[in-house]
Amino acid sequence: MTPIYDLEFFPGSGQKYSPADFIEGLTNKTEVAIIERRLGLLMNHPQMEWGHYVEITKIDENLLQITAGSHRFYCCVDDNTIIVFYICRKVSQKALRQDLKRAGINRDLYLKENRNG
Amino acid sequence: MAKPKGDSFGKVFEKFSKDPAFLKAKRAVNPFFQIVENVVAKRIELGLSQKDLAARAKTHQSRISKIESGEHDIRLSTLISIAEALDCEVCIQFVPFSSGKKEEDSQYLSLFMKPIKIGGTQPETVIHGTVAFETGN
Repeated sequence: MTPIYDLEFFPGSGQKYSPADFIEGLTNKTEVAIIERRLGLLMNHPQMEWGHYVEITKIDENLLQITAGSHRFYCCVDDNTIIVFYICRKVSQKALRQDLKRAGINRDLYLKENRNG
Repeated sequence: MAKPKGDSFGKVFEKFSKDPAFLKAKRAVNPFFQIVENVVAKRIELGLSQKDLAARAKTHQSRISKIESGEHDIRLSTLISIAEALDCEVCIQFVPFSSGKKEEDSQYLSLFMKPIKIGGTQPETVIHGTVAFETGN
């Protein structure tokens, strides 16, 4: 299946709260494989169909919270690219304020750099 | 507009592509997600909610939800019940890995959900799912 979307982790590895660093730091490879497959699922289906596969909460105009299995992903769709700002484990039914805050920081950084880019 | 540089999906997961533990995990995880895609696609095609499907399969909505999360170790008998509820049957087939493919170096047990033949007319749509098992090594 050809992906509909590209996917980018922002900020890149080595930066604060980088989603790429979260993945690379996982010692449980099953968790890595699940994240890869889960994100692949999003890449392969139009956004309007995502709700069939994951739980989506719109935090604001430029930030979606995707809850699926044991993880939460914070992202937006920019043209044909899914930008993942933050990934965390789902530790409770309600998203932790600190996770929302970190996702928001990365999203703001993305928007800022994008405007200046 | 130039976009800020992050790390691409390919770049991040490429780093794991030579890790045998990751490849093994991937082989174990993929079939569950293939089941997810099959069940969801067929359920939507039939216009069923999770609750509708659960009623048809004589199970609970929460179980369908877990299966569709991709992280539930579904029993084969449950999968057969769900396939039946989706007017499908399950077909199983061993498929050897193609040698040289970087992520596949053992063998699959492939599992298909195919529409049940009714009244001698075989629907054209065949839904594919795969359950992976390692064979020996």
